[in-house]
This record gives sequence, C-alpha cells and structure tokens, in this order.
Amino acid sequence: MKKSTGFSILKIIFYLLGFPILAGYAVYKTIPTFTLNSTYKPYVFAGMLVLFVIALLYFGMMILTGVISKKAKSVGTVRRTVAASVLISVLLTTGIWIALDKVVPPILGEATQYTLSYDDFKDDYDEKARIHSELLTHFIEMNLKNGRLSADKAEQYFTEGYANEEVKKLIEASFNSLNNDGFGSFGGMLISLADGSRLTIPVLIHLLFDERDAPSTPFPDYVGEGRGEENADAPIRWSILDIQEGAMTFSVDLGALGAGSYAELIKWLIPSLFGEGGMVEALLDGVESAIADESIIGSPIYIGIDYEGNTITVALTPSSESRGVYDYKNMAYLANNRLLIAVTSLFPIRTACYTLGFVLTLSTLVIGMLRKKEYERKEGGRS
Amino acid sequence: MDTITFTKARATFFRVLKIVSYLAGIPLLLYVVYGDAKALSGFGVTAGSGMSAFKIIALCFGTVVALQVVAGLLLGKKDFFVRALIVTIAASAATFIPVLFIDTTVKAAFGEMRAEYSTSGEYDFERYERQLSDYLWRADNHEKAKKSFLSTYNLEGTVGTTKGGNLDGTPTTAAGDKNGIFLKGFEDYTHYVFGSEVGAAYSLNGLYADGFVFGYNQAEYLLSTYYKVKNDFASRGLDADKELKNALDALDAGDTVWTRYQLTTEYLRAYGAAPAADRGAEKIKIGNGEYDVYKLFAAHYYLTTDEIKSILNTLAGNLAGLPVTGDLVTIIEGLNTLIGLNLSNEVLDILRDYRALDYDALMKVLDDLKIDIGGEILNEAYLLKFISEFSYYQSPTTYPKMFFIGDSALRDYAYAKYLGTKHGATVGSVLIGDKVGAITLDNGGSSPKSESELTALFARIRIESEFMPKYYPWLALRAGLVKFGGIVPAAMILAYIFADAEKKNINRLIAKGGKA
Repeated sequence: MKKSTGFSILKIIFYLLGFPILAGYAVYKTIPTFTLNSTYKPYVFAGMLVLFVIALLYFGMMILTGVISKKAKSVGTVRRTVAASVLISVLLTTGIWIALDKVVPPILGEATQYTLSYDDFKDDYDEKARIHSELLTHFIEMNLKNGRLSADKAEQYFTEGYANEEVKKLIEASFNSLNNDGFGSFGGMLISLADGSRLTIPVLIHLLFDERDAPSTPFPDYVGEGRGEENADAPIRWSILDIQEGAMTFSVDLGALGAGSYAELIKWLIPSLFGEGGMVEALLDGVESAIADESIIGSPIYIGIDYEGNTITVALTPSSESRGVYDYKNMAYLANNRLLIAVTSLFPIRTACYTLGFVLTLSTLVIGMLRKKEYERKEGGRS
Repeated sequence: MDTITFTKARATFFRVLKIVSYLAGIPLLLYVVYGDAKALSGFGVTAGSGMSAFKIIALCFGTVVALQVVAGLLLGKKDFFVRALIVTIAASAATFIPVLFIDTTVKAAFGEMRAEYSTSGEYDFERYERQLSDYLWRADNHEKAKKSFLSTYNLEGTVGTTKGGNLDGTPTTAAGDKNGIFLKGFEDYTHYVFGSEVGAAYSLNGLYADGFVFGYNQAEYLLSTYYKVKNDFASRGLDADKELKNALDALDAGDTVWTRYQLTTEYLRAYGAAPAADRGAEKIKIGNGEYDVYKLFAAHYYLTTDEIKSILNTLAGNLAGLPVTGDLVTIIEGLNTLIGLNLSNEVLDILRDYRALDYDALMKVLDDLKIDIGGEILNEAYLLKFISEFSYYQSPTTYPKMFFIGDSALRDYAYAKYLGTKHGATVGSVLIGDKVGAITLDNGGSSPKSESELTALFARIRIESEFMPKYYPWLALRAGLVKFGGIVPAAMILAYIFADAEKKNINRLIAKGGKA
C-alpha cells in the first residue's frame, strides 16, 4: 500500500471517530425529548438544526484548511492551519455553549417572567421534556372528560397531539380566555402581591370581589366535529384561584376561639354535620353555586372541609380543572410549549458538546498532524 | 554536567527565585487585601465602600511599581544597589505611612465616638483595638440583626419595593411631589407626606402607593414616630389613641374642613355616587396624566354594605336549593332548649322557613344568637366593620380624613398607625399589633419586637451604618498591611538580589559561549 493511501485511510478513520461520535451521542441524548414530544414538529428539531449547522461549519472549515494545507508554501502555514482548525473545533463545541450559557439565561428568564430558569433545563431536560409532554396529554384528558373534545376521537387526539388542529385551537382559545379574562383582568399590584408570599386576606378579598372588566374572550365549550349552533363560545370569568396553582387551603384552630365558647358547640355539632349527605355537604353545594353567581365571583370554587382534633381545614379548589384548563403558569407553558420544546431540544446537544467535545478536538488535531506529515513527506520527496 | 549547562541551570534557578520573591511581595499583599476588601463588601452595610481598601493599596503600590520603572530608566542597569534601595524605601513607606495614618486618624475618630455614645448611652461603642481584630464579625452581626428585623416584619430590603402601582391606575410619585391635586380653598393645609425616605413610592395624596411594601427605612421611621408620639402623650398623662379618636370625631362634627372637603369634586369623584360612564368614556387630567374617571371610583375596590348584603342574599337564596330539610331546624331547636340559646319565636320561625332567608333575616338571627367576641356582641354593625377591616380602600387621589387633623404630632401618629396596620395588612407587612409581618391565610404573623428592643436596634443600625462604611475599609487595609509590612520590602530586596545573581550567571554563560 502506498504511504499516501495510508494517510488518507487514517484521516478517514479519524474523521469517523470525531464528528460522527459526537453527533451520534447528541442524537442518542435527544431521543427522550423527541419521542415524548414528536407531535411538536418542526420545533422539536431545533437541537438537530443546531447540530447540523455545527456540522456544516466544522466540515466546511476542515475542507478549507485541507485545501490551504495542500497548497501551503511552508510547513509553518500547515502548522497554523492545524492550530486554527483545533481552535475552531473547540469554539464550535464548547465555545458556542459557553457563550450561550452566558447569553440565554436572561433571555429565557425574561421570556417566561422568571418562572423558568436556564438551570431548570440545563441538566434536567429529559424531565422537562416529560413534563411538557404530560401537560399536553393531561390537557387532552381533561377536555375529553368535560366534553370540549369529542370522545369518539380520543385515540386520534393522543396520537396527533399538538399537530391536531382541534387540540391546537382549544389550547390557544383556553389560554387567551384565562389570560385576558383572568390574569390580565386583575390589577398588576394584586397579582404581584399574590405571587409572592404576600397573599393577605385583604389582597384575596380584592382579588375576589374588586370590580373587573366584563369577560370578552370567547371560551369554546366544544371544538370537535359536529359542533352545533348551541356552542356559543361565551366568554367566562376566572377567579384568582383559577390563576394560582393548586387548591388554596387554610386552617381554623377552634382551640384559639376559647374554651367553653362556641368552639365547643361547633365541635359538638361537627360529627352530625359532616359525612356523606350531611348538612355541611349540602350547605357547601349551596355556597358553591352562590359563588359561581355573576354577582359574587362568577367562577365556581369548590369548597372542601376537613376536621381533625381542634382544627378545621378548608380547601378551596378552583374550577379550572373541570373547565379543562391549568392554572395560569402551566397554561402559559402549554400555550408556548412549542417554543419550550425547541429550547429543551437544545440541551441534549449542549451536553454532548460539553462531554464529547474533546473527541472532536483530538480527532481534528490528529487529522492536522497527519496533514502535516503528508505535507512534509511531499516536500521531502520534492527536495 | 558541563559548565555551560551548570551555569544555565543556576541562571534559571535564580530567575525562579526572583519571580517567587517578587510574587511574595506586592502581588501577594494586593491579593490578601483584595480578599479582605471583598469579604467586607459582601456585607450590606459596607457593600458600597468595602473595596476602597483594595483601591487605596493598589494606588500606593501602583506608585511603587511606577517608581521601580522610572528608577530603572533613569539610573540604568548599572546602579543596581541604588535602584533596590529606592524601591525598597518606597515600598516600606507605602506600607508604613497608611498604617501610621490609620492608627492616628481612625483611632482618634473611634475614641471620639466611643466617648459620645458612652455619654448618650444609646450604643455600646467598642474600643479601636478590639474592632481592629473583629471588624468582619461586627459587620456580619450588623447584617444579621437587620435581617432578623426585616424577617420579623416581612420587609423588602432597606428602601422597600413597589409591587405594582395603585389599584386605580393613578401614578406613583417621589416624596413631596404634589402634582397639583389639592384644591383651592384649602391653602392652609399644605401637601403632607409621611416620611420622605429615599426609595418609597407615594400616591398623589402623600400616602404610600397601594402596592408599596416597606423597607427598613420606612419601618424604622414609622415605628419610631408611632412610639415617640405615643410616649409624648403618655408623659402628659394622655392616651394617644383616645386623643386620635377624639380628633377624628371632631372632624365629623358640624362644618369642618373635612366635611367641606367631602363636598369637593375631587372627593366626590372617588366617594360620591357611582360613575354612570362606561370605562374609558370620561377622562380627566391630573398633573401631566390623563385618567379614566370610571376607574377613580374607590368603591370599585372594596365591598360596600350593599355589596355585602347582595352577597349574603345570594348565599341565602342558594340555601333554598338545599336537598336536606329537617336537619337544620331540628338541630337549632334542639340546641335552643338543650344549651339555652334563647332564640325568639320570630327567629325560630325564620329558621324553620330558612328557604326564604335573606340578609335582614340573617341579621335578626345573628342579633338573637348574641355571640360574644372578645367582649363585643356579633351583630350587623360588628360584621360590617369586620368585613370592612379586610375590604378597605383609600383612594390615592383624595386626602384621607386624618390629613385634616390639626395637631401635627397626632397627625403623624394617625398616619403611622394607619400605614402600620391597614396598609401593612394589605401588603403583608403589618408593623403594629399583637402579630406583625406577613399575616396571610396560612400564616399568623410573628410576635413583634418590644419598644425597647426596637429603640436599641434602630440606634445600633443607624450608628453602625454611619461609621462602618466610613472606617471599616481602613481597618481591612490595615489588617493586610500589618500582615505584610515586613514581608514586602524584604521580598523586594530578595527579588533584586536574585535578579542580580541571575544576571551574573547569564553574563558568565555568554562569556562561555552559551545562549541565555
């Protein structure tokens, strides 16, 4: 075998050991994100697109430096191209991500009102991919249950996911309603206080009872096939509990009311009042329907009462689940899922570049050395 | 080993020693002072000035290095000894003079402060020598004491923060910005702003903006004012709370400035009849801005008596749909005889026909039950007062009643009490009461600090906030200089000696035909 053929074979081997290994690992790391969120095409390919751009730049650079090396007039030039190609390969793998690690966190923070941070994704992207996938799955489940999606097409909704036009439309319309007639209808001051650890009773009362603009964004009650005239898309009102995540619970300590007072009476009454079909259940039904009345809050709130020892725990559960939406934060995530999934898909590539970037750097160095040897041999033959 | 290699090795050896000696001098001193300065600037109280210790030392030794370069250029390579001497003297001066300055000026200042506070008794000012060694610990303790106060009262840092502006959308302003909202005819009552601490956001009426959460500065001013006025009244045998109630009641009696103010367009816009206009239909100019009249109506932001009645009527109306019928009556009648509730026949009739319950009937039941809550009977008036305590709104475009209190001290007291209780209760920073801080559905608040604790804490924070940022950077600088006072000149001399030895070996090497 000729020596020049040997060099070529060696170079091919190192080409195969470099970028393909890095790319293969990156693709392998992307599999969970892709399989869980495959219906979010083309957004789920964002990471792959970045990898493709890196590949184009890398191979473009390698071809260019290869040509320069061959036409070089001195070994010094070859040496410089080797140094440049190694440096560029470092920049294309770790360099890009070091820069993105600096640039992206504030942008992501601002885009999500600091509800999501770069660190949430950085190493935990598989979990993020799972959560965002579940957001969609459970959204479909909630709306099959309440009839806003057609039960006959359940299988199709789950298979097509976000690619299904009805699901997509329902997500957008639900979020717009919650955003405009819920979140946006409260004063910024109240939301700011409620969001921190400052949801005081006066703030809660303001949030529940202050006058707000009448709801104006259509809220579809059915988007499936065979949608009838009766589906009016009437705008609805959302309460602060719909905006917040989970039920709001608070406890009343009867002991604190004082011994011998009405606390004793309440305690004495409780066994006969609680229980299935008891007074409390019936009374709460009445209160719940009163709360749903437009003149009070206009959005159903389900009240649960639990009694243990001297403490009565009251849990207020919003109507969002039965209406087929999440709380504001999760609904906003779901409505922007395609972008969040595009962001999530970048992180497996980041991990691959950080962990196996050195493989590309080493293979580039070896290829460069082979080029130098090849050049020296050629020059030696000439002289 | 041949002589050339040996000479070369010796030159390298001395070069290494030269570099190590040089690094052990000025760079190491700078590094140590940088560490101390960085630690000091990590505390809030010295955050702004902590690094100045490093800046001073960097300037001093920057001059020494510059002198080194100048000496090298002017004296040439020959006068090695003179150069070494000049630079060493300069380095010694750069180390010694600051220490001398600190030990005279700062020590004297500490002595004066110690004497002053010892006389006033408001702060235990520690001796200079003691603070020299534990200044970092003291700055840390200052931070911890302040943080504990912030945590108890659920405050937002030193200057507070604004969580959104005003509920009615009117602007928030800096202290003292009158913005022309006050009316003609009330010239005797100049615009009043409670406190004027940096960072607070005010409504047009001089109260804090609806969403403003107190910081340390506001809490300190508010609590100090509250206790000062309270104690002044007590020293005269008066109860500030009673005097305040009397003053407010007097404003309601007959033709007063308050009753006249309630007839102004400004006041009626917020508290008069509900605006008929739709949202955005009518705008008015306040200062430089234009505002929706509809949104300025205060009752949009609290539960009025009519609304409470309407809510209770809706609730009562929904009871009609209850699937159970007998339970309630049986239980109530049973209790009536069992524990002697003494309900009147009228009320028992209402309860028997509870499907027709309405607000008025509910109030009758409440009156009959005679529920005792801490000495007061739970009746309609109590219930409405209770609800209004939680649902209350002061329009940012009108002056509150307390603004018109004639006695300025009592007015300060009224503002402090209002802001420390009602405003604090809304924003989750109650300052005055049996429980303070964040009182929410699931948090009962913290126990307040006693007046004496607060007085001592405020004095401490005020005094330490003055002298720590001013003098502690000097102490940090001194600590570094004392540690390295002897090392720097010695290290510089050694660096010169090793440089000379290196040079000699290089010369020998060249003479032997080797390469340096």
